[in-house]
Amino acid sequence: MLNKLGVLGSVMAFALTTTTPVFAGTAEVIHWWTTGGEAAALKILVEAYEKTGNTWKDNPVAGGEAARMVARTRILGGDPPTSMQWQVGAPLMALAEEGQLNDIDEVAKDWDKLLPKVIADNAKFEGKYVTAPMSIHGHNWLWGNQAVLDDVGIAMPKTWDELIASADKIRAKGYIPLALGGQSWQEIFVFESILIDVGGRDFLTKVTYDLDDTALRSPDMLKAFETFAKVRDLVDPGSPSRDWNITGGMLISGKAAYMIMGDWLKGEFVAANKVPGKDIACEVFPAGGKTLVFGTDAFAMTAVKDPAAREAQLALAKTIMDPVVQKEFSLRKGSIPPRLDIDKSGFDACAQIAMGAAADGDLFLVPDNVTDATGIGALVDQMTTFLHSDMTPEEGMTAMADAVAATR
Amino acid sequence: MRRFLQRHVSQVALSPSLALIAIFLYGFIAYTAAVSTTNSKAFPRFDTFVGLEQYWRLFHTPRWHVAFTNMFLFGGLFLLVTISLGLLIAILIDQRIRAESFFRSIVMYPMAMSFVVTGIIWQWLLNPTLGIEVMMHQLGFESFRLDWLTNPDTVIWALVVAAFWQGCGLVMALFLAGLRGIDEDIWKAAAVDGIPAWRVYVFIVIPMLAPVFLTVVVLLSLSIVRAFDLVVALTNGGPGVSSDLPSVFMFDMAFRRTNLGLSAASAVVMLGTVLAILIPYLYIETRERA
Repeated sequence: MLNKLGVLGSVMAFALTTTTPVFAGTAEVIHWWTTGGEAAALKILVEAYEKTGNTWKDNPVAGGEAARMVARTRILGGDPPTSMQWQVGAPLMALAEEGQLNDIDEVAKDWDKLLPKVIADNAKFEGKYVTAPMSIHGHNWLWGNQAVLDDVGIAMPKTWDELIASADKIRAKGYIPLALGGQSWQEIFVFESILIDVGGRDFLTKVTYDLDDTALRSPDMLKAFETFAKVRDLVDPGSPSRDWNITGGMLISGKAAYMIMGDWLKGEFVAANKVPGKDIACEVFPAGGKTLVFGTDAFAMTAVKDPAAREAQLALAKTIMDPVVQKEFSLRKGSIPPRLDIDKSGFDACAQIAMGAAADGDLFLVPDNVTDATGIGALVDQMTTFLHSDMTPEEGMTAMADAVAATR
Repeated sequence: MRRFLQRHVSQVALSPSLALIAIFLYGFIAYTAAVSTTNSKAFPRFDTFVGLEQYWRLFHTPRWHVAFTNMFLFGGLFLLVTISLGLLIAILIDQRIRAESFFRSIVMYPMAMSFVVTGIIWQWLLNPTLGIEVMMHQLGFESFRLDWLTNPDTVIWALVVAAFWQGCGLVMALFLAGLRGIDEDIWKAAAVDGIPAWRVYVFIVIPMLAPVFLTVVVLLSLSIVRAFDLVVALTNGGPGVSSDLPSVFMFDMAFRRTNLGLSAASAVVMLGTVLAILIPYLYIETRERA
């Protein structure tokens, strides 16, 4: 709060002592960055933006869902914010099709060269950019507590077979093999990494993007369910419904050996004085899968008409894609920058791996942003039902395929 | 004019609220029913008429079956436990005990908690790595197990316990009021005839409480159908989707899965369930008055 007042004060002082630029406008931005690390990262963006002579009107709403609901209500009510945090891909296209977004091609001429193709494609509507990507978070990371691994005498596994094979040794030493928070949004990271392990990127595409009935009933799918069934034995009895940060605490404190979770978990490491890549080993899992499932933090540009607001909007898009802002922002947020031309110095070992994967074209946009929400939702429901039941892999596979088929 | 007002004052006074009810209750019920016949996604769109397809889809969604079955399972257990224990506590308090208001307050206090707070308290208590189970282990009972929350087969019991804890006070109060309304002469007559107290309760007093039972059942039934915050706070539908309820399903479909059509269909089915409970009640009420 004091910081915000300070920023406000300096802005006011600035406005009083200098001549105001011709097109100074105000950008009202709805976002859901409210926790410590997130707020520190946001400050970088806000300060850089206000240097352009425009004013940032902060409108934080805790929780992504709530924030999107507020934004949607404002748009429906004819009073859109200048910009708002919104996922790329299908959710963005739905808004664009309703005519609710401005294109920002004026400032985005060279973005095609700067961004990974998958982000560029999903940030454009009818060939024109309608959102500015701020940061990327990877999902299918395997984290390992190095002290526990050393004590057991094993190295980070490369495949699911290796991981499961190491479980007995880990248990023999009194550790929990896998820390898992039993909520469906956390479990899907595990399931997706198994799909990659079984059939690679193509199989993951067929199952989660296409919801392809043949793939959902294939021998590969059965194999995935057989592996997934073994996850039931890797976790502790307290797993169901546990929150991700409490689960992360089990990894950090050395109660558990492994955890599969998005790279926002690094924030918890830093808070506990653990160095990612050293105290906590990391790996895009399975290794060699050439697939990093990711989500994007991006700012969609609403269909504002007022010229001053429009200028403020374009300036915001430009600031978000500024190389210095992109780097400094991600350093604080624990994400990686979408721009491919940012140098890796200063980033931790895990972020450098992710940046390498992005450069190699290994990015795979999270299915939530691609697939019909009801279809992928039915898949997720059956995935979590299976994990918390004693269904056989055959039963689980059929139940999932049938549930997905019913949504068509 | 004045005579008109005198004759029709009740109609005039009621008409604004009737109009509001017509629009905001029945109007929106009709609107929801209309949306349920479309293929609406994030926004309602009436150009995508699909007839009853959403209902077909709904009843082919395994998660809906879990949610719908849970409503009856949770409802049945909740009614049974809350009514029987609520009545028992009311009878115990009715024994002209000392410090009656103290005990009454203890039972009534949880009612002041919202379901969200109730859910979180019981989530902590029932968590096998944090709550009662750990406490019992520390007290030396190593084999003690309390895994209701993490076991899909028993998670409904966790919901019942929390809901009972919160709802018991109201039920107790209603029954206590009913018991206090019983004519003292009945007790005196029974004492003269030498009938044991439990027989008076079972054969005379409890049958006389029939109207209270009806009120309690309807009140609790409505709270069962609209139960939402308790599930969200206590289990969030987990483990898996095993503690899902129709209201949670409906919210998820509307706001997370952006499928307004399917969500509206589930809302209409829920409304049908409520009517199935209410119509017999209204029928009995009106018949008694007539």
